[in-house]
Amino acid sequence: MEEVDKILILTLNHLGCDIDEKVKSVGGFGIEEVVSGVVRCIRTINSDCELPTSLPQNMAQRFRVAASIAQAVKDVGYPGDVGYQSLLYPNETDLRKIFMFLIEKLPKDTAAVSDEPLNKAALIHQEARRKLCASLTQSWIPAHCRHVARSYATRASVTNHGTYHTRQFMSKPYSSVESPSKVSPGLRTYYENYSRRITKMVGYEYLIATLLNSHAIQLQRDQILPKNTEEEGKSEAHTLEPLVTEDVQLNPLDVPLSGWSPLSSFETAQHMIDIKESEREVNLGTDVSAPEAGVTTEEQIRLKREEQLSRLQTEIGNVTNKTEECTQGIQDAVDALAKLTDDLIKEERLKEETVTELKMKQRTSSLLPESAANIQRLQGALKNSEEKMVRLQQQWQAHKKPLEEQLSQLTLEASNKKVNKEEILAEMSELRDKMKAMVQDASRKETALAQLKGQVEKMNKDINRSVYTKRIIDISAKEAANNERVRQVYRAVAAVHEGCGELVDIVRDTGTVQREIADLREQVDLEKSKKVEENLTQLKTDLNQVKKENASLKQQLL
Amino acid sequence: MLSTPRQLLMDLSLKISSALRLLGDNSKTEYATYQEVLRKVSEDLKKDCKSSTLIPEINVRDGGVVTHCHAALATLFIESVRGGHNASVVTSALEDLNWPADRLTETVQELESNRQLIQSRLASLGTYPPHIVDVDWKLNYRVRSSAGEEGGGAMYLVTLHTQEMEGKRGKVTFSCSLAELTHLVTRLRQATRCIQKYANNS
Amino acid sequence: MPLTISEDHRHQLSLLITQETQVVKEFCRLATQFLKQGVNPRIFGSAANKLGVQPLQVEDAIRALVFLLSHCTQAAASKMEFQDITTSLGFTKDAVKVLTDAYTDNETDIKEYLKTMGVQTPHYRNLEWRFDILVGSRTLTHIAEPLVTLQLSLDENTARSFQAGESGTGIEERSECVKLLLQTDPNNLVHMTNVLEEALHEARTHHSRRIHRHLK
Repeated sequence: MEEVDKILILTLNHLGCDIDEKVKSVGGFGIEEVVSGVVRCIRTINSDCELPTSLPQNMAQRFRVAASIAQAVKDVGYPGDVGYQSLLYPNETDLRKIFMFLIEKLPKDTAAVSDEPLNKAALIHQEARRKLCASLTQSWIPAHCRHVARSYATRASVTNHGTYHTRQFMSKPYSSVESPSKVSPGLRTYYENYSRRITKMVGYEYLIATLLNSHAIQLQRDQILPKNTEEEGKSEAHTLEPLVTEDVQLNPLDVPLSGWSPLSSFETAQHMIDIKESEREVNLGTDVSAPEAGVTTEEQIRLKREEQLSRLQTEIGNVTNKTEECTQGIQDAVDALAKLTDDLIKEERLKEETVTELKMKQRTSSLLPESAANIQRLQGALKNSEEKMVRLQQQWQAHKKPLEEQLSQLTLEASNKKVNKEEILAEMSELRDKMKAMVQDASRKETALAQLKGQVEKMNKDINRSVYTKRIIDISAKEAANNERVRQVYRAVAAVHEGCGELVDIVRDTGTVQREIADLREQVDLEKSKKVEENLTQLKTDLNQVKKENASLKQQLL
Repeated sequence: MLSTPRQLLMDLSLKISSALRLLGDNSKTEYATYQEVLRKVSEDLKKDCKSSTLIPEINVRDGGVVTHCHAALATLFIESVRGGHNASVVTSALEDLNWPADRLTETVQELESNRQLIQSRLASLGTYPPHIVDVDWKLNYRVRSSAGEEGGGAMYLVTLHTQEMEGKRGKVTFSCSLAELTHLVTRLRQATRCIQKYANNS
Repeated sequence: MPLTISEDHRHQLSLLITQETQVVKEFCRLATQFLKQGVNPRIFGSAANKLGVQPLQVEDAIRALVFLLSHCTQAAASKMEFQDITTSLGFTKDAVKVLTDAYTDNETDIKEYLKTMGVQTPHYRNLEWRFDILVGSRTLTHIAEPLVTLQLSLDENTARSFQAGESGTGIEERSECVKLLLQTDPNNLVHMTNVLEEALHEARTHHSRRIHRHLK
């Protein structure tokens, strides 16, 4: 029993009961231990259980709670009799049975799960398993009903509600509004008076996707273009800039078009001249052909055509040249533009730097007049951060302490387990030795048995002993009839025989009585162990308590 | 949603950070403006896109600061739910941005009260293959056809009803013989057993 | 079903009536080949050359022969009935024998061919499944959603189509295997399994068996 109780107590402590080390057996459990042990077991078996681990003070409530715990034990499947009395007035044997049953029922690997901190994969599996169990136990409902169920559910889940409600991840282009303080005064007026919330711009449907998308873009840009890059980073930033299409402030309208305008006007002018020329030619042609219409030979027409052809060809050549020139001009302009843009960006950077420098200097200079106060303020700030540091350290300690405690506890447990294990091993080897000895003994006994059996068989072949005695008695009787003395002897022998028989009977009776006495004693012990008297007095006091409570309640009512 | 937070830091872009810094700054943003931003963010995230009949607002113009910070705060809410950052992570992120205690507590409370809803909305964004929601079957005997085919035996006509995104419905119909249906059911039973085993193997 | 051969077909077959039995046999071979995998148009040309007719006439004759064979199979004409028809068309006794042999020898092939001409529904071929746990998405990390992904393979037998024109006259069989990617949740998977198990059970009911016996 001791071993069993040891395991019981160990298991209960694992489940979070706080059973004193002095308590060695189930018999030593108080009501508190019994209730907390049973409830913790039930909670582990069935996570939905909402029973308290300790009983309330009020007697009537105590009984009710005890009754519901007993009911929970029955619900788990305990086959024996259990009621509130088993918990409030426990007896050792029943209690041991209940605990053994409950511990048998505990989920097998809870200890492992609760012992080690869960890793990420285990957490995912646990969650998936939970969802899966829920989904499997749920009865099937038609899709449209499920859709209705979803609209009432606090958490939409694909496993439980399907994909009917899902929408594609679609975002709209959106570039976040600059802080009003950072933009130029003109833009600021616009922002302050006309800017609209993102919700108004992209609509509720696209709000989440748009925000996520634009944030991702911003994060990416932050990565590529750290804001406070040093000089060397600059060139890299320049080459990378075109990658970021959204927010780069390269407005084409801002770029000076100086390279473009003369070129284009020149071209248009030239073009105009060309058109005029061709018009004049056409006019000329009609003028010439009119008077000579009658005498124009085919030869002349051909010559004229050739002439026109060559002229047109030279014209084409001219135009091609011009086009080439223009292309060159465009190229130059683009180069110039790139250079200018570079310059501009450099300038802006320079400006920014100067501005920050200026700001810094301004701030420093503004600090000068009231240096004492400022120093104090700075000291205050320093102090604040120190305090924060202290607070954080305290928090860290608070975090650290329970974990360390847990660690030491776990180490202790582990070593305990090791000791236990060694004990068990030793016991096992001892048992093995015993077993061997017993096996030897058994074989020896078996051989003896075989031998004896052989003897018995042999004996059976002999003439029965009673036949001999009978014959002896018969002979004796015959002899007795003949001889008076012998008859006396025979009578005495008969009396002795009778007396011996009586003696044997008495001895047998005594044995029976002694056995009965021992039985009764055992029963008495058993009854004593049930603490009936003690429990009865406890019950009486509890009854009085209830009566008292009832009386006081009545009084309150009156 | 898994319960334990694993990421202890929030990643916020410089733009969002600076906007949030502005929103939390007592000296630059008045309390009333801050409250308006918080209220609008919470409203906008709560609104169901389908039932949203745009209610015309009296004050359509929000002002630069409001629009600027609104997007940033909404991003903070969405990102913290997306990444599974709990209240303490968000609190420390806002602390780093020098938020005063009163605004911080209020904002975190508002976030926590809307967390489940935002999570539901985030969960319903995404692309999935057609989702089978029901199945129909018919057992036919092919008697005779225009092609002169005779006694084709028992044929099942199975229809899988599916649902897709944005409330689209679909179905897949196919025929199969008794042997093929047995094959199909065997496969499905395998899958069912697999998931049941997984569920019970805790 | 009364067996009737239209005037057009009669006319087209008349080319064969005057030919040798050997030629009729060759045409029967071509017709069955036509059913199975189509015939190279050049063969029409060479055959036409040998017989001294137009290639189109040869092609028409083969088509008419295919029609005759398939039409009789469709109507489930017996050997005797087929003999009667061919005789009525004016074939010689030997030619009738050759034709009847072709009819009976290729009965299963013709039936198979006819089957593909009928009403077509996509046909089950295979189902593969995979148990997934969705652990994160662009919009939500830290989730664990158990889902079942299914790949349903269906045969979409788009019959056989006649390809007319110079590119090749013949029949082409197009049996396409369509793979559908589907998904379901555990609850619906169980439901689906149960419903289809019920369907299987239906085939074993008394009612179904009686019908099956009756229609066999």
